[in-house]
Amino acid sequence: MENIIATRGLEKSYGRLKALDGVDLAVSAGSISGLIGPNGAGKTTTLKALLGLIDVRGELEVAGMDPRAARHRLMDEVCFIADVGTLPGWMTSRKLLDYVEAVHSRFDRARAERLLAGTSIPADKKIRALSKGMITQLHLSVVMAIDASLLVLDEPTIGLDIMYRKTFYDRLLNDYYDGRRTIVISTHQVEEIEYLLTHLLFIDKGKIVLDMSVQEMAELYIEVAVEPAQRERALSLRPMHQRELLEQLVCIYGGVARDRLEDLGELRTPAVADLFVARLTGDENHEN
Amino acid sequence: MRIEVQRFGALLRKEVREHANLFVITPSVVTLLLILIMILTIIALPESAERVLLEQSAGFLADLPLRSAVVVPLLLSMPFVPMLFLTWIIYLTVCLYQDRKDRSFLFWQSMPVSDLQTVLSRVVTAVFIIPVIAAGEVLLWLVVTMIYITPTMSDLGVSFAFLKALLLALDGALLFYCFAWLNGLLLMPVIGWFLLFSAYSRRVPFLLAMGSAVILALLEAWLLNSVYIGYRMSLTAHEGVFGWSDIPATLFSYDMLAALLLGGVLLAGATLMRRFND
Repeated sequence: MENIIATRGLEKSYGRLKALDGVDLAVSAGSISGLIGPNGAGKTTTLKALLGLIDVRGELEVAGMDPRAARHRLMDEVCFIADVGTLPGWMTSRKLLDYVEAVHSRFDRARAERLLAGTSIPADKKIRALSKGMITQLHLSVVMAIDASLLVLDEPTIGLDIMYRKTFYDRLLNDYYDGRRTIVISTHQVEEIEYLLTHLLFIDKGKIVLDMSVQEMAELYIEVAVEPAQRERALSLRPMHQRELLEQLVCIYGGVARDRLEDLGELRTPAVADLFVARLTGDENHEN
Repeated sequence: MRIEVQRFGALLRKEVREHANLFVITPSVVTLLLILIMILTIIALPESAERVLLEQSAGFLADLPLRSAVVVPLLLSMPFVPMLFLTWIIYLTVCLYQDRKDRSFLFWQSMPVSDLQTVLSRVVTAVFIIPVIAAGEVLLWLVVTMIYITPTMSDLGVSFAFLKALLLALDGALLFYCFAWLNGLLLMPVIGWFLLFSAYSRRVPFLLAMGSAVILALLEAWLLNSVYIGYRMSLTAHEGVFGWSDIPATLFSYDMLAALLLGGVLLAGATLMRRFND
């Protein structure tokens, strides 16, 4: 499949801190990718680079354009939501729609109004007077009414309660994603988006440490809830990560044949959060 | 092309709406205060003194041809000049800073609007739109003043006194508008300077802009023995517009060319700063 994002050797430093240290990315069109990493790993810097909001070194192409040279043209093709607090508080939602309609050639006002009709957001109330949840719904409605090929979400639900978070992702999947559009999501709340993702990107210390499809992940990594009697054998197979859960050993293996593990206990695909911890804390010998 | 024009129009409307308090409400309060002060002064004046003042003003206006008499309403509008400069300074200081402070910058940057369009919309707002609003306030002030003078003009035998007074008020407001945007163009280096710091500063953009300008002005005086920066920063760019005939001379002057060239360089700097300041 064609790549909508392609980067090679992206580098960005803030003083002596290397925020991006040779980031190589290839995101295929139509995928939903999760960019996952600890605080300070370089997630937001990567997304800002993709959007042309910062200057970086290296090769960079998004939707066939270099964001550093043509950010405003790229924004015809790309939408982004960077957390919940970025809509201008002095505007009303009606004025916001007026503005976006005037500046964005791909904005469908009727669709935005239909989407907003399903919410309790008042049209003439200032955005600063709305709750965080309402502001997020408003922003999402605006973005969903833009016919863009790439949507970038940077911690879009941070600070929201669980109801709003769930609604946000359900709307995204049901009313926006059509298999043609590409979505890149960066979030700490991995568990909540796990079911959406088709592709995983783990980033740590400014480097991509894992880049694979969810399907590949399921084939490569196996989590085993080890039977007490198999404990020694399980450890001898050198799991990339191990932890005790309710007095039971749980191991994650990478690149170990399934048939070698079947006798050890219950086999399952690791949760993304567990794999993430495993990759960041696991034995480097097991890296793939 | 059509979408670009529509986009730019939306940027200008957004600026006016965002800064409505600064552009409209504050000058309106000042205008109403001026009118109130005028009324209170008239009430406080002895009747004979008021009569003398009215007769002198009305007589002066009655004797002058309409074209020349415009200097009177223009002088009457001078209290609005400091207000205009103050509005410019406040607006230019915050207009590329505030959205970074409240983080709405990320929303504006998510729209297909270039940094150059953003900066130019601020310049057009400052040079051409703020003066429209100020000229509207001036017109209101002049109409009230002329209404007060008109009966005395009629007593002095001026025919169509009200119409003449109204035309003078309109003429005065239009000339004030021209005075304002001409000064705006002449002050383009100052506008560029403030926009540069508005786009750059993480805090206190006004202090940084002024402090840096003072240091540069001192260096200029010390190293080059010239006072161009100080002259520009004094915000007294061109006081010479007292009639319509002064406008072409000001517009097509070397002073204007220098101001536009230096202003253009600083505006390019502000655009780059907006683009790369992360």
